[in-house]
Amino acid sequence: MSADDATLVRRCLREDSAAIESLVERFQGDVLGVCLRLMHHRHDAEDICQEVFLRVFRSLKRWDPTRPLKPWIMSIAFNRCKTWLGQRSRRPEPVDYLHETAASPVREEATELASEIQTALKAMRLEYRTVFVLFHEQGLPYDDIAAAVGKPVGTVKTWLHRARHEMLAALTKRGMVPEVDHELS
Amino acid sequence: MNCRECQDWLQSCLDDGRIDVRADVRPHLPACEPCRRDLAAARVLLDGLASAPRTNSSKWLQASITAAVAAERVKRRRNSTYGWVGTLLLTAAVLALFFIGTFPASVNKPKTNAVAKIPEAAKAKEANVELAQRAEDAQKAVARLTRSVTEKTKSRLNVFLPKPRSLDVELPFFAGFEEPLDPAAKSLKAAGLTMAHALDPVAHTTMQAFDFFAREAPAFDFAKN
Repeated sequence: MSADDATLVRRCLREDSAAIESLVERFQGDVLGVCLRLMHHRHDAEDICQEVFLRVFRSLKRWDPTRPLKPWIMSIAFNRCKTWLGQRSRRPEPVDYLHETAASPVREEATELASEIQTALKAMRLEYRTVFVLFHEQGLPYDDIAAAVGKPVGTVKTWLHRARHEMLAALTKRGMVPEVDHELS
Repeated sequence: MNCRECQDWLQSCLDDGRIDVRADVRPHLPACEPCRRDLAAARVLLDGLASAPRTNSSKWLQASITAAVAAERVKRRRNSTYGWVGTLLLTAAVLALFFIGTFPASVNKPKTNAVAKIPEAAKAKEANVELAQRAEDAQKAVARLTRSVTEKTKSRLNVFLPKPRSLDVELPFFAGFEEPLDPAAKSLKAAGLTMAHALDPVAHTTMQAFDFFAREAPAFDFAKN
């Protein structure tokens, strides 16, 4: 647990506007990133991101100060995405015209590879996708991911293993992996 | 090393985020194309993840979130205030109903009496005055009637009373029998005087009796008896 987190939360509970802004600023990028990866729709992701923070501030009193704050916020984000996806499956998927505009300019190959990774992610089960994003993009350890998704660490490891396996297979299938040779660097 | 051990090693490399081919893995890879392919794909994946554009925090979104949080905070505070005021009003209403229901006499009656006391007293006073007036009028009427009856009785007695006396004078042959007649005349005179002072019903009855006597007396023929 970070002492900064506890202090920040205490200030937020005292309705300190600066602390609220600080908390939003600190976690907004991570929450939005997870939502984008899980939803693959920028407008939905932004809506969910806002909803996540509203829920965070509503239930901040229930946060256990002995545990890290980020996994707790990520668990709210994961649950909101899960609920949202369940609702979205019952209605037509909207077209996201602004999806591509969010990315900063990068190399063409990197953009293509990133796009392939996102395509592979989109094809995964939500649970696999979540643990993959939380581990590889958010850098959360297994314990925190387990706390975020509400599953045992063993389950998280299994999901991540399967997610990687699907990802490697997808990248290979899509021709993103160069021909292998015997050279091992 | 077998494929399973190689895959476990590859997973640990992905956990670490970097791939350093260990010495014990090297002999396995040249002979196993799937493991070699997964190793190459893992390198591509790590490159892709490392070069993937980070999701930048949007100032616009941050402002939107902060505004939404502030708006909800204001709304919650307002609801809390309204809830408190509502609870207070509800409690006051319940208490008021309780006291009204429990102590209707202590709450309602004094106010009603206090308000109605003056008109009722005035009304009672007026009623008493009216009643007293009516009683006085009745008393006067009774007195007038009594006087009237008395006067009529006296007048009738004046007509009637001389007859016994006249008997004494005009009928000398009753002298020997005067004693039995005197008590009757005295009784009739006393009754007449008493009835003259009696109340109306008695006077009326007496009048009827006198009327009877007055009507029948002329027909009474003492000479024949």
